[in-house]
This record gives sequence, C-alpha cells and structure tokens, in this order.
Amino acid sequence: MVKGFETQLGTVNFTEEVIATIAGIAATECYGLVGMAPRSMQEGLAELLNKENFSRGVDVKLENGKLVIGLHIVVEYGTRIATVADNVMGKVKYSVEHLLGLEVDRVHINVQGVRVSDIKAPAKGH
Amino acid sequence: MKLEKISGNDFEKLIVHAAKMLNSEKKAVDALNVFPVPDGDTGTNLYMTLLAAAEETVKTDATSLGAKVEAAARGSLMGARGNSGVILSQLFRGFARALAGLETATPRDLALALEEAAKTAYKAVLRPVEGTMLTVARETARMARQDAFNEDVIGFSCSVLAHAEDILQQTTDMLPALREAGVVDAGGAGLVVAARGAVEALTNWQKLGEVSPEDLLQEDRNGTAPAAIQGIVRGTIEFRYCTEFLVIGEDLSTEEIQASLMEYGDSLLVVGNDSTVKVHIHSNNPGLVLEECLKRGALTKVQINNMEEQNRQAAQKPVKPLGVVAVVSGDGLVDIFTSLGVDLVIEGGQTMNPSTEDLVRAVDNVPAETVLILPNNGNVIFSARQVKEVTAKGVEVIPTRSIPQGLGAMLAYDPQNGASANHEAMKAAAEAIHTAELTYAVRSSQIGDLSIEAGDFIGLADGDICAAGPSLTEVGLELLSTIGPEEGDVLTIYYGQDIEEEQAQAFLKTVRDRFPDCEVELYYGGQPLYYYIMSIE
Repeated sequence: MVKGFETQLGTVNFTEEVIATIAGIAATECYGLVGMAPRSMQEGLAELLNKENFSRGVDVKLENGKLVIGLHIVVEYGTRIATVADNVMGKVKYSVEHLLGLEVDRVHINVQGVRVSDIKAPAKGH
Repeated sequence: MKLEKISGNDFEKLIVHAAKMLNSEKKAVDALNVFPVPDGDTGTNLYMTLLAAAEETVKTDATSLGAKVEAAARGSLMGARGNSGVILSQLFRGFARALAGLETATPRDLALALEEAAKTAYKAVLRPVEGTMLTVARETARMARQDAFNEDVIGFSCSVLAHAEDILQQTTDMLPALREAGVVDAGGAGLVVAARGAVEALTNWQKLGEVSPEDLLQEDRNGTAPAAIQGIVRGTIEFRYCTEFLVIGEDLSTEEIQASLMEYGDSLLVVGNDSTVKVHIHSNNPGLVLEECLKRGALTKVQINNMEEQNRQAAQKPVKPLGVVAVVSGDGLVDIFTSLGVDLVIEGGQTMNPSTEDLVRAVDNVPAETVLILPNNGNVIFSARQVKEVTAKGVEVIPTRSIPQGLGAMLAYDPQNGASANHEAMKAAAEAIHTAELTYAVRSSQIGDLSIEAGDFIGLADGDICAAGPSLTEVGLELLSTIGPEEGDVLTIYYGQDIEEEQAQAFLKTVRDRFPDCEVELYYGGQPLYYYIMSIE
C-alpha cells in the first residue's frame, strides 16, 4: 500500500496495482507507444488469455518513501524513441499526480521492443 | 492560374511558408491546451518540429519532389518535440513513402499520399483518441479523395484546407475535455494553421517567387531563438575529423555508399539521388573515406574539420569545482540570477520548457567539474534529472519548482563547499519559500469553488489556483492572504514585462499597507505571462 493523504475522517491509501493501472492507461494514450511488455510469466499468460490488463508492464515501487514508477514499453519503429519516452514520462507523472494526488519521484522507461510494421520488401513476416 | 503538378522546388516553398505561418500563430495554438494556466506548448512543439523539417528540406541538394519530402520526413523525425511533434513526423513519413521516387505530383498523387500519411500515423499508437490531430489528418485525407481528380493543384489544396478546417471545428464535440473548455484540439489546430500557410503560399505564388526559402528560414530563426544554447559540446571525441563532400557520378546508390563507409566512423549521413550524393561522416581516416568514394564518382566541395581542435578552443577556460545552471525567463530575472553567481542561464520555463538536450549542452558549457541545475519549474525538473544520465560531468538537480525557490536556493549557494553540502542547503532553502504567481486565464473554467472567466487574473499559491477576478490588485492581495505572511517575513515582488514601473510601485504600496509587519521589496523581473511573481520567506 502507498500512503495517499489524510482527511479529518481518515486516511486514503492506494494499492500499487491502482497506481500501476493509472500509469498504464496514461502511458498507452501516448503517441508512438504501441504496446506494454509483460513483466512476468503470469502477465504473459494473462495476455495469451486475452485478459484486459492496464497495469501490464508497469511496476510501482517505493524508494526511500518516494514513488518510483517503471514502465516496460514497445515503441513503433520510425518514431523518435527518445521523444516518445520523454512524452510517456511526462504524461504518466502528470496523470498519477493529478488523479491520485501522489507525488511521483521518478518514472523509468524501459524500451523492451520496437515494432516494425511497415518496412518494405521482406517476403515473409510483417 | 492553374498548376497541374507540384515540384520539389514548390514543396520547399510550401513547407517554409507553413513553418512561418505556424510561427506567427504558435502562441494561439499553445493557449488551446486544456488547462487555464498559459503553460501549454503544443504550438511551439509543432513549430519546432516543422522548422526542423523545413530546414532539412532546404538543405538537401536533391531536387525531385520525392527527395524533398523525404528530407522533410527526416528533418521532422530528428527534430520531433512533444507528442504532437512525433505525430507530425509520422505524417511526413507516410507522405514521403507515397511520393518516393516521384519528380512531381498531381492532385491524385497528393490525395493518395495524404491517406498514406494518416494510415502511417495511426499505426504508431495503441489507443487512438478521437478528436485529436490524428482525427483531423485522417478525415481530411478521406475527404481529399473526392477532390483527387481535380486537375489543378491550387483548387485541390484550397478544397482540402476547407475540409480540414471543418473537421477541426468538429473536434470540440468529440472529446469531453474539449467540449467543457469550448475549444478545438490544439494539435489539430496547429496542423490546420500549417496547412493554411502552405496553401497561402500556393495562391500567392508570383508574389512569393522572389523570396528564397533560405532567407525566410533565417528570418524565422533570428526571430524566435529557441532555448538552445550556442556553442560546441565538449567531451571526449572518438572520431576526430568531420568530413563532408559531394560525390558526382552515375547510378550512385546511397545504400551502397552508406554500407561501404560504415566502418570508418560515426554520425554517417548519406543522402541524395543517383547522380549526386552528399556524404557526412565523423572519422579518424578521412583519406580512406575519400578514397572509397572516389571509386564511385568525382568528389567536390570537400570539407574536413578537426573537431578536437574546435573543442579545445571552446574548452580553454579554467575549470572550477562547482558551477550552476538555471532555467529562467525574463531579462530582469536573468540579471538577478547572474548576479547571485549562476554561471549559465537557459531562457525558458513558463512558455517553453528546455529539452534535456538544451540542458546537457548548457551543463557541458559550464567550466566546472560538478554542475548544479535549478529547473525553477515543476515541468523542467524531469528533463534536468535526465541530464545526469547523459553527461560525463557530475550533476545535481535542486528540485526548485518556481523562480522564488530558485532564488532562495541561490542565496544558500556557497561555491567553497562541496556539491552535496550545497545540494542539502539549497534544497532546504528552496523548500522554506512560498511562491505566489499572478497571471491570467486563457479561458473560462471552474476550479473547486472558483469560477474563472476567460481573461480574468488568477493567482497561484505554490502552483495551485486560489484566487481569480477582474482586478489584478484585488487578486494579488487575496492570493497573499491565502499564503498568510507572518510578522517578520520578507516579501519580494518581481514584476513582469507587461507591467509598467509606476503600476508596480502602486502595487508595492498597497501590499505594504496591507501587510505592515512584513518587509516588502520590489524588483524588475521582465518575465512573460506572469504579471507578478512573489516570494514569501
């Protein structure tokens, strides 16, 4: 659980899963990102079973009490990956901070794959 | 006048005018971002991307339409900024693919290319949101099909532009956020503005014929210097000689030349057509590179520069242990920061966030072993932290979220102490400061209990909107009472470029009367958009 905020009536906490879902939805709205890479076997299986899972490829950690989000993403070939990654970082930070009211310390992007959808010529494959 | 086909030369003029038009309208596009504080940068991002595309188009030596559009695609890819910029680069990419190899294009070719552009752009997104720049591109392409058999490029373009403008208006109803704010999509608007610039260039052909694209671009660059810092990036150089030349021959293949030069160095760029190819490479064996290309044709315009020498000249400054880079906008504030000991100021912040690249260049240009960065804006902290990963120098980011926090941090700066001691002290000093900012709402909206009208003045306390109204002074006082300065606090006011000195003096007096227990000071800040920035400590 991540500590959210306190009101007069009590505290609001969030599970890591909630934060991961918000981050995942925000990330997948970014242009240039074409997929999230599963973090684990279970996630890979869930994907095969076609289970909708927005938190796929997102890990949420607390480092020294500060929120650190890691994203495992797949990017379209032919986009400027540095810019896409930068956009994703900004968007995820913004969404988590504004929707949940949590401060995000860092967002790490791991580009796990590049999808090639339109290189001409290869006889088979794409 | 009727124009049956469009050539590479025509395209060059179109893209330059598109960039020019977007430059003059980019502020308006920025203001469309769905948030009442004027911090959006969609228009600026699109403009920077389009400018990179236009520059590359003008620069290329090839003349066919296909090659010119290809150059634009390459330029936009390398210069892409922000989400909208990446989308633009993909539109160009699809457009270029459809026009590849063509010397000129008819309306039919252009209609097909527009469809390919939209199709390519849609491929690079997982969950396309309708009511954005992508929608405008796709629907415009769909409508353009009807005009494909028009025999006049000018008539075709005017019709396509009219469709694009219609569709842009419809975006308001496609996204709830846009409908609430009552605006059209910013990215879509930027696209339409650029298209309008291109079409205007077509319809005013004769008049514009005499101005060269180079002149126009030069004008543009001078007019709106980006946050970039001029200077040579220092660091260790693996390949020493920047080698550039043209190969002239027959049946040249850029792929073959590229492959044959790969092993000689990096930053390899081979562009051109089958009779002229431009080669650019950083290599330690320029002789071998030339020899290799001599096998394929005659060489001309050979230029070889020793980059290490250039670097050494740039680097001949004494190196000190600690330096500071700050992101600031406004001439008065720049002077204040400089007088407090900041080594290098990057212009930017509220209206345009410097990229990580701009920051890296600045850090590398400061003659110090470790550089402290003051982002002075919540949105810049992120890019600043990335600098650490890229540069060989030691970098510490003091997470200052506003100008007053940055100034507070600078007051705690002591170059005699080590980096980590300074980091601690400066961070603590910054956190002790409250920031109050006064700006205006670009459109009406509702924040909590506050109902804000477009054009109202709004007050932000530590980044949150807490006061709004039609009187600047009233909003200012309300804002200050929210923060509630206590006896003995120091209140410093920095007035912006839109405020006259007498006006600022009057405001100073009002504030002094209202908070007699505080020490109030007034300085000229010269910042854009924000009438007053105030610090309370």
